[in-house]
Parts: sequence; structure tokens; C-alpha cells
Amino acid sequence: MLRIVTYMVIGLLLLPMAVVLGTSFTAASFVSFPPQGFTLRWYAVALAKQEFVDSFVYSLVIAAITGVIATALGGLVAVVLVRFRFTGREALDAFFMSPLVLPTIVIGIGILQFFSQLGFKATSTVLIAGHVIITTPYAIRLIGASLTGVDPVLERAARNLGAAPLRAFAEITLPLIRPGVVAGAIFAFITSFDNVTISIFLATPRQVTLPVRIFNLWDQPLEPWLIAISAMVILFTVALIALIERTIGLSGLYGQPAK
Amino acid sequence: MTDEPNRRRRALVPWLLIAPVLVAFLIVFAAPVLLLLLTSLERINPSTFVVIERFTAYNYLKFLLDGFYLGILWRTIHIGLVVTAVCVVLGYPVALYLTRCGPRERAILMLLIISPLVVSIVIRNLGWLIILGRRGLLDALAGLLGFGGADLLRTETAVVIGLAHIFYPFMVLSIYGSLQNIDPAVMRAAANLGAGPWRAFSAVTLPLSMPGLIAGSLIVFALCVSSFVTPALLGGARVKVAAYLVWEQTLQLLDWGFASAIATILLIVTGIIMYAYKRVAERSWFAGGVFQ
Repeated sequence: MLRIVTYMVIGLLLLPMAVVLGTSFTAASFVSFPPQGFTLRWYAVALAKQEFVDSFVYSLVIAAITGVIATALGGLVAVVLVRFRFTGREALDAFFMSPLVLPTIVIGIGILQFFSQLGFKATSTVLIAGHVIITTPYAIRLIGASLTGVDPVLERAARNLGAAPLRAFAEITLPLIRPGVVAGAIFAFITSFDNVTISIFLATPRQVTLPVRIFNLWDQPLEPWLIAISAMVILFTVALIALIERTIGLSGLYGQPAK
Repeated sequence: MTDEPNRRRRALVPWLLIAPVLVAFLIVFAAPVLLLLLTSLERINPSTFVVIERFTAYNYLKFLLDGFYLGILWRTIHIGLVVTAVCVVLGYPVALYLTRCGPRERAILMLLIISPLVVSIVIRNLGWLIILGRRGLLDALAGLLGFGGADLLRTETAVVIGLAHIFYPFMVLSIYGSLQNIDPAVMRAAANLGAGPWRAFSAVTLPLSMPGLIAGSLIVFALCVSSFVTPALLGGARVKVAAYLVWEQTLQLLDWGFASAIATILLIVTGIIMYAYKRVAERSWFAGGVFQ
């Protein structure tokens, strides 16, 4: 009984993705399910939509830069929070986690108002700054979790043997926390790549990320080529999941230890 | 051993290390949110967009005294409650099954439950658009069963389905987290004392898993009431929610004061819920997710 319910619910969970993949091959010129016939035509149409290809590349670049910065900042914060005991530590922890707790839309319009009042134009830099704020907490948590499992004695031993602090960290601790660092980077990348709520407020007039470009069609009828684009993004994501699963195990991402 | 100035210098090390990140967060995060609170007290002239009053509760009163806006706030809360209920009803049996199946099956099921989280929300919503809209899967099924047709797009039901799909994994992980912590000996004790499976569940398992259920409900509800993308895509202008108003006021009507006031109200509502979540999470052995 429990088993039947479980598999039915999981079927429902995966249904929207399956439907997108299935519909992308429809031979009809409108979106319907079940799809009619089979064609790859819409993939060709989709790839010819230059503005969507540009947005995809733009999203990749933004997400990659965000991933690198969030991992570096998150790593620094994680080291301080895990390895030092000092007054204000708990408050700092709560402060750095708060972007996860606050509604993303609040952060989005907050940054928009702040930078426009300072006279900044909407630029990719501001967009990346916004993405870094909402992704760094994940990096802090994931790297911090890895770091908690590493005995500080190892690093101290390297120091006693004459290694400078930075070298001891880079050669002893860093290799040991690599799974957390990789997980943090990938998670920051995915979160940034997926984001609409920040990006929609900080979009530059010229460049728009892919999810925002898709979102902006919200009041128009669905077109098969848009479904083909979505199908390609799903396939891209599946490839990423496979990569994560091979490196650290997906369940590690959400704070549940892989068992 | 160490002399006083040395110790004081040591105490500075963590702050020096963290300073660049702290400054970045203060500028790009704390300052904007504080500014938002200030902006929410500004009243503008709606035709010239010029600020005509600096410190006034005008925007809050406008929101809280107008039946139209209160209706939207109520709808937002109502959607959050329904989504939470759906996630509990569909999440509990799955979480329970996860504790009873073998480790291999559990690993695969976990992967399947978590994997939708990494697929873009916009694209998961498009999937539901195809399923729930005209000429969609539901339409076809309804036709087969002789109900004529079905088109749920731009309805509250569509928004509830879309949101439940997105936040469901958080509920399962949360309930599973506290179910996992129940000592199997307690269950055996219940059985030895003559409790049937149903009695053992209602008298032992369910109460012991309450922290996870409550924490999961709080997190799902908080995420729901502040969500923007899914209500906009599946509900559109016909099912406006609070976050939709924030977006509309900011980018289309350019009344940033009013947008900030609505955002602040959202902030307060989710803040209270998250505080409750933290308390629940701290008091139990709940091995929580990333939100702690």
C-alpha cells in the first residue's frame, strides 16, 4: 500500500519533465499532450532562435562566475565559522544564512532600489552580486559540513612541520574538503542558473538570462520550439546531476548524508 | 601562557579573515533590505512618481484597508495552507515508506525525489502548463472519461499543484529526518505491549515524527507565501498573489514605496514563520536541511 502510493507520487513528481520531453517531439504546430507524430524540427527552430541561444550562454557565464565567487566567499566564511570560536560567531552565522530565509523577491527589489538610488545602471556585475548573495549560504553550509569532519590536528601537524598557514590549508585541509567545495560550487551554479526572482529585477536592457527570457513569455500561448528549448535545458541538467552523483552523491546536497 | 596583546590579536583573526565577505554582504544585502524598509514609508504621486511624503504609514494603510489587496493577501495565505496540506498528505506515506524499504531502494527513491529540485522552476511550470491546459494531458483524460474537457490554467488549483510539486521534496526530507530518528525498539515495545500496526502508528510513530512534520510544514508554507514565479506562470493576472503585486508595482506601475510595503509585509510574515521553524528545529533532534 505504502509502496504503491510512493511510486505513484514519484511518478507525479517526474511527470512534468517527462511531458516536456515528450511534447518537444510533436509534429503538430501547437503544443498538445499526448503529442502527435515525431519530429526533431522544433529543435532546429529552437537553435535558430539567436536570442535564446545568447541567453543560454549568458546564463552559463553568470552561473559560472557566481559559482566561483560564492564558493570562494563561502569557503572563507565556513573556515572562520567552523575553525574559530569567538564572540559574535552565532550572530555572524545567522546573518550569512539569512538570504535563504528572506523571501527572494525582497532581496531582488531591495538590490534594484539600492543600486538605482546610488546611480548605478543595471549591469551584469550587479546581477552577479545579487546571485552571489543568494548562493553563498549554500556554499557555506556544504563546505562547513565537510570541514566539520576534518580533524584540525592534521593541519596543525603540517604547521609544526614548518608549513606556512596558507600552505598547510591548501595541501592538507583543502583536498579533504574537496567534496564539499565541489558540491557548493555546483549547487551555487544550479541555483544561479535557475534563478528568475533576482534576475528579473536586475536584468540589463541588453542581456537577459534564459529562465527570465522564458518567463517573459508568460502571457503568450505555448509554442513547440519553446518546449524544445526546455527539453534541452532538462537534458543539460540531467547531465549535471549525473556529474554530481558521480562526485559526491546528490543527497549530500540537501544536508542529508548519503547512506 | 600567551600575553594579553597577543591574545587580543588572535581574537581579531577571524574578523579579519571574514571582513571582505562581511563588507560585501553589508553592501549588497543588508543595506538594500534596510533601504527597502525606508522606501516602504515613502508615498509617491502616482502620476509623476515624485515622492511627496517621506515617513508615512500610507502604503501600509493602503494595503491593509483595501478589500482588494487584503483579498490577495488572504489568497496568498490560503494557497500556502492548501499546498502545505497537500505536501503533508502526499509526503508522509512516502517518508514512512523510505524508512521501511531497503537501503538500495531508498537511495534510488531519494534520488528521484530530490532530482526535480535541480530542474529549472520555469521549466517544471511549463510541464504543468502542458498537463493542465487546453489540449493537455488532463484535457485528454477528461475527454476519455466523458467529462468533455478540462482547462485548469489561470486557476488557483493550477497554482497549488505547481507549488506543491516544487516544495514537496522539502516536506519529505523533513518528515523522513524525524522518522529516521525514532528508535526501532520503541516500535517493538509497542508491538510487544499488544498494539496493532495502526495503533502503534497513531500512538507512537506519528507523535514522535511531529517535529519533522511541523518543521516541514513551516518551511513549505513560508516558501509558498513568498513565491513569485509559479503563481505568475500558472495563475497569471487572474490569480494574483502578494509577490505578484510586488513585481507589478515595481516594474509596471513603478510605485516602489507601495511595492516595498508589500514586500515588508511578506518579510514579516515569513520572518515569524521562520523563527517558529528554528525553534521547532532546535528543540528536536531533527537533522534538518540547509535552512537551519
